[in-house]
Amino acid sequence: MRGTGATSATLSLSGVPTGQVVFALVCLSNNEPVTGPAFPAGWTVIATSQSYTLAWKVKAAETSVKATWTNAHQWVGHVFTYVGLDTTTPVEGAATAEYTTGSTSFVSPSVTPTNTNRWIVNAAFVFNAATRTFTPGAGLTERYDGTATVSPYPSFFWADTNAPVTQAAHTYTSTVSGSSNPVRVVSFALVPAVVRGSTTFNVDAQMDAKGHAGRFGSSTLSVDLDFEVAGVSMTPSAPLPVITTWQNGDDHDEDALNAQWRDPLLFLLKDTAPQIHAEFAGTAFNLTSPQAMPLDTVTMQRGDIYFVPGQSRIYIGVSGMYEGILQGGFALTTATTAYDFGTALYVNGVSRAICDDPICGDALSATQVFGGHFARVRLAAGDYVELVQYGHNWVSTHVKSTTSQDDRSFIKLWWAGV
Amino acid sequence: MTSFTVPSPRTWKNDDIPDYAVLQTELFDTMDFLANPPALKFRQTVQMNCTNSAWSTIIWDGIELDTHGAFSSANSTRATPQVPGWYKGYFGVDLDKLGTSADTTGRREVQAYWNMTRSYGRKMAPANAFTASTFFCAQGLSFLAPFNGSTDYIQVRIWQNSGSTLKTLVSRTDYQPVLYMKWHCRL
Repeated sequence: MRGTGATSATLSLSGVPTGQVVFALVCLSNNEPVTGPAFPAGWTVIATSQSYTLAWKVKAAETSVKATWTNAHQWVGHVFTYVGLDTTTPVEGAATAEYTTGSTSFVSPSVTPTNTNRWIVNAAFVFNAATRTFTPGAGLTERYDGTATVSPYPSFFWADTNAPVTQAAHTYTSTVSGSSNPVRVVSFALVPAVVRGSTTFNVDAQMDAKGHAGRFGSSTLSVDLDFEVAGVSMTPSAPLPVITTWQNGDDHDEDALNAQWRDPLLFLLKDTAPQIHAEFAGTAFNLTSPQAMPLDTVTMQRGDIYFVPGQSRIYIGVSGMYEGILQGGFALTTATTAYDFGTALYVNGVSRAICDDPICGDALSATQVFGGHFARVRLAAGDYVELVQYGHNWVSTHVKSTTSQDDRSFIKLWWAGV
Repeated sequence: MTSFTVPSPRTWKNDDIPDYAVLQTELFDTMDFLANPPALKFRQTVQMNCTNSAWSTIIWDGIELDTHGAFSSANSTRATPQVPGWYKGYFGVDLDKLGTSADTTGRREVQAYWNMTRSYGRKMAPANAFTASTFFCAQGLSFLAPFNGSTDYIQVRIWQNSGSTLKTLVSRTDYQPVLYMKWHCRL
C-alpha cells in the first residue's frame, strides 16, 4: 500500500491467519527529524531509522495496523507473513546497515543463524526523486519491490533465501536501479517453530491486492519452505490404522478397501509407519556429560516423527513401542584410565535405556565407538527422545564428538508395535 | 538368481472387483511377505584365526536360516540379501583367550562391515579388564543397513592387537560368531 502527503499509514492485515507471525513495514519519502514511523503497542520493532520502521506481531483480532509519524510524506508499506514461524522469537540476529555514498550496490549486514533451519530475510529502503527498483543478490528470492506514486519516491524491497542456510555468516549483495542516498538495509534470520509431525512449512508473502496484485496474478504468493535435508524423502503423516471387523452387508467402497486393506499393509510394511535415521556429522566439539547429541543429518524419515536439524530432540507423533539402534562416538585427545564412556536413550529429558555399560578409556588412545546398541522404549505421542553420550571424570577438552562416517553418533528409531 | 520383490499395496477404486487372483496378489501375498519376511541366520562352527593387528573376516559355515538365498558358498564371508530393503539384525563374535593366562594387551573391535566400505555397527573394547577366566565377548550387537537386493552385502570382521594370533570361540553355540538379519522395510 502507499500514500501521499500523509502522517500515518494504515496497512490491512486481511488474509493473515490469527496466531500467525506477521511483519509490517513503512518506508517514508524523507527523513523524519529524529525517529521513523511509530507502530502501536504490541508490535515489536526489528529495525527503524528516520525513514522506515520494520516490526512484527502475532496476529490477533486486529484487522489492520496504523503507523504514525510527524511530518507529511509519501509512503509505501507492506505486510508479510510466514507460516510456521516461532511465535515467541520469530526473528534472530537482526542487523542494519546504511550506505550514504550514493551507491547502486549494497551489501546486507552479516547474519549468522544459530541453527541450520533458518532462512534469512533482506529488506532495503530508499527515497529519491525518481522511482527505484531493486535486484536481489545471489541467493535471494525477491518477494516484493514497491514504490510510491509521487516524488520523492520511497521505495523498498523484501527478499529471502527461500531455503534454510548454513550456520555461517551470510551477506548478500543486491543492487538498486539508480544512485540512492541513503540506502538502509536490514537483515535477519527467520526462526521456525518446532512442529511435531509436520513435513513442510509454508511461507506466504501476503501481497497488496490494491497496488500490486497484478504483478503476481494473485493476492497471495505461496512458497514451500522445506526444512528437509536434501535428498531425504518424507511421507505425509500416517496415523496408526484402525482395523475393524467386517459384517455382512458392509458397503466395501474404495474408501473402505483403502482404509482396511491398503493403509494397514502400507503401515505394516513400514512405508508410512514412523521411522527416522539421524546422525551428527558436523564439526567435532567438546563433550560434557551427559551430552544430548545434536542431530544435523537425516538419512531417512517416514511417517509422523520429526526433528529439527541441529537440535537433539526427536518428536514422536504415534504412540507405541519403538525400537532403536544407537551409536556413540568419542574421540580422546588424552588417553587415561580415569574416563569411561556410555550411550543412552533419553525420553523427555530422562534416561530410559542405557545402551552400553560404561567402558574405561584405558588403552583406547584415539577414537572410541560404541555402536549397534539396541533399545526398546514405549513412547506416547508428544514425547521426545534424545541420543545421549555420557561418562565419568571427563575433562571436557579431552573428550570430543566424532564425525567420520563409521565413527559418528547416530540414532535409528522406528515404530515397532502398539 | 531368482528375483524377489517387495509387495506394493494397491489403491482401490470403486469399480474394482477383486477376484481370487487379485485377492491373492493384493492381500494374501502381502500378508505372506509380512508373516515370512526375508531372513537369515549364519553361524561359524569351525574355529578360525584372527591375526594380530589386522582385520579378520568371519567365515560362515553353519547356515541355520536363509529364506531368500543370501548365502553363497563362493563368498562364504558374505550375506547378500536378494530382496531389496533395509535389514535389521544382530551379530557377535567371541575371541578365545591366549592359553590359560590373562589376556590384557591391546584392544578388540568387531564390525558389521557393508560392501567393504563402511561400518553399520561396531564395538571397541580395551583388553585390560580381561582375566584368566574372561575373554572378549561381543554378542547381540545390532545394525540396520540398506541392501539393493543384488550386489550389496555385509560381513562381520574383527580386529585385535593382543600381540599374538587369537582364535574365535566356537566350542559352544552361544559363543559362536553369528549373523542374523531380517527384512525391515522398503528402501
